[in-house]
Amino acid sequence: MGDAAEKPLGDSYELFLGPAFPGLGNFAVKLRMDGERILSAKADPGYLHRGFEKLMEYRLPIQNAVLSDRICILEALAWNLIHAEAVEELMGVEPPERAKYIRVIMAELSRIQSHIIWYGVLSVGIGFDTGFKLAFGYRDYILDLFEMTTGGRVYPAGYICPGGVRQDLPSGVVKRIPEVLRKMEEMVDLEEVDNPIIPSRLEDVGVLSLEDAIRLGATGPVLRASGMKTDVRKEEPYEVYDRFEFEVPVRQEGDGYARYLVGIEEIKQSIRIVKQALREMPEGDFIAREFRKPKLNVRLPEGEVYVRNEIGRGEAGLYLVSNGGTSPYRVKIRGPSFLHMIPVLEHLLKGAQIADVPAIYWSLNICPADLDR
Amino acid sequence: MNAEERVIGAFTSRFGATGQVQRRGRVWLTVEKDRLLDVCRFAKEEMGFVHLSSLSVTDWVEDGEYELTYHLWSYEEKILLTVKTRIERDKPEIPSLVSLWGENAQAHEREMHEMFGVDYIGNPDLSPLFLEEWDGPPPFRKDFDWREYVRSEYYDVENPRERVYFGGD
Amino acid sequence: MTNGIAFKIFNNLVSRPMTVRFPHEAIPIPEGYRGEHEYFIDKCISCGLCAKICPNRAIEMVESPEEIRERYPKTYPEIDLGKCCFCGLCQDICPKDALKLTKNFFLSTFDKNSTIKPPIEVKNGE
Repeated sequence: MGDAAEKPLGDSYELFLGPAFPGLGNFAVKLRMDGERILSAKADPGYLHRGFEKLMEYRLPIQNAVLSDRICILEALAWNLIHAEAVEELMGVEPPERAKYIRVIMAELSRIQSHIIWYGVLSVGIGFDTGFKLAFGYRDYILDLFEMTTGGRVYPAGYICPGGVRQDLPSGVVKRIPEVLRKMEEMVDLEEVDNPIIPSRLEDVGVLSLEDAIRLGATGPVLRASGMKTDVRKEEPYEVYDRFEFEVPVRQEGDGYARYLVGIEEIKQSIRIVKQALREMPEGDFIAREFRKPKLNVRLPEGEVYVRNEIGRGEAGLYLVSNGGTSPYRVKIRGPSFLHMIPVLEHLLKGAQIADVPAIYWSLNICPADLDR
Repeated sequence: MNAEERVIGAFTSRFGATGQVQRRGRVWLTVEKDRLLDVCRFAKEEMGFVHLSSLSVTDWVEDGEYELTYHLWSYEEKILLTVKTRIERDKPEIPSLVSLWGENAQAHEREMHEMFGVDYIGNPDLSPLFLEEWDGPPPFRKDFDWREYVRSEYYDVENPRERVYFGGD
Repeated sequence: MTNGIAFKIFNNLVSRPMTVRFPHEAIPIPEGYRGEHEYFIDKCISCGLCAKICPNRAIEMVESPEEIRERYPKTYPEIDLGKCCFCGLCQDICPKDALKLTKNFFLSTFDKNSTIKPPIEVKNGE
């Protein structure tokens, strides 16, 4: 039970919230309560632990690409991309130009749908159920695109694989994307409707100062909402992100509402990126020649790489070590939710009201799957 | 002299560390385990590597050593500094970075303690994080044979669909 | 602002819902969907690559049933759809295009053992 249980009881009591509580995902928090106020919180993860890092040591890179879908259910393509980049950097392979554009389009669509889900679950967290239904309805337009491109709605099955992408972008998808982006703009309009529920429930809730955010390792939208202008796509442009124009939204307040506004702004910027990528996408190959047919005996050269990407939830990292075999020797997956859900959440819950727990939790845009891995 | 070489130069002159530049924005630094805390303090407080991005352990079972890696990111220099150090596998002890990064390092070290059994001296809470009621060896070690473990614990001999994983016997 | 909301409410009243009435109409399945496998035993050369690349080891190379062993003497892939994750790597690696993923996703069943898909169905009296 940790240190919370050893403190003298007094009038306080312990509350176990989760893991089947609808306000939180597959994740629990042990709260030490004084009436309605939280004295201290202790995160209890592990309900989705599948041991990917160990599993990847026993599989080929092409199989790991399929496995990397499952790291975070809601952002499968983003994790595909980061795994593919790590293997490519280790092997010294450069994917074709067209593949890079397809990857950017897919990663940005994945970010849009992830942010829309964020809006949906945050709405549930603050008792605004209509938002949830809207979000999941609009998300389906993007899932239709994924189904046409990758063959699966949620799991692309390693669509972004080492060397490029597994299939070319069908012409139907290219025609359909502008239509879907219009729908997404409609969704952003709906999110921006002057709805008094959201600011009144989120303003001054879960305030994270900039120093705390850096010390606790917050990244992505959480850090940007606390006043740090940072984005891996700008700092270390991977793929072809340096060719596109987009803004990095920043807010100074650091509360739940600021994170919500940053999320909306990021959807708009992602729509901008997809439009530019679609306009500039060249013709050509979609996968490097030597990867066109999957091979069983591809050796990973000896060495180690650390790849960082900006996914919807924050900074994702993959540390890949190889000793020259066909499988990686060690893989470390750094999910953005790991630090958002343990230190940041524990810090923000201290002193909060019990009714604000789901609001704070979901305003951090977190996914228990990439915490547990 | 570019930024990456300047970073390596600063650590080499002060701590006698060896380093190499892998590509733009990637610096790998190897240090002795006794100097790890000083190197990290210098990196954080004077070089601006304020973000502890990730922390990892690699189990080199043939050398009898663990390799610890600390990935630090500097928002100003835009460089990822990886500090590597090796410790003995029989006596896996290393000073904790909790004094520098607080709860961030604490959570990472707790996970690595659970998965590899590395003792982080000075970490206040190394209780299990992910695994529930696990009393076997740390599972991410290379010498932990999980296939054997699954066969002895969970293999249902009666079920023909499981035979493909464990051979005929 | 109020005008905008009023317009939206009106718009929602007349626009089509996002869902369809499933058994009567269905959203079309696009080309390239990864569903149940289709296997052509006559194209197969029994190389076993599909079994080796399967990430879940859902494919096992088995001998054909007694009655037709003379015609098909080698080993052929038996797919356990209960283990399959429908990644399509077997289709990609197959040198003879003997395995294909179809659009069929109606695969739910009450009997766990019926998820195994043998390489060839032997019909009685054949």
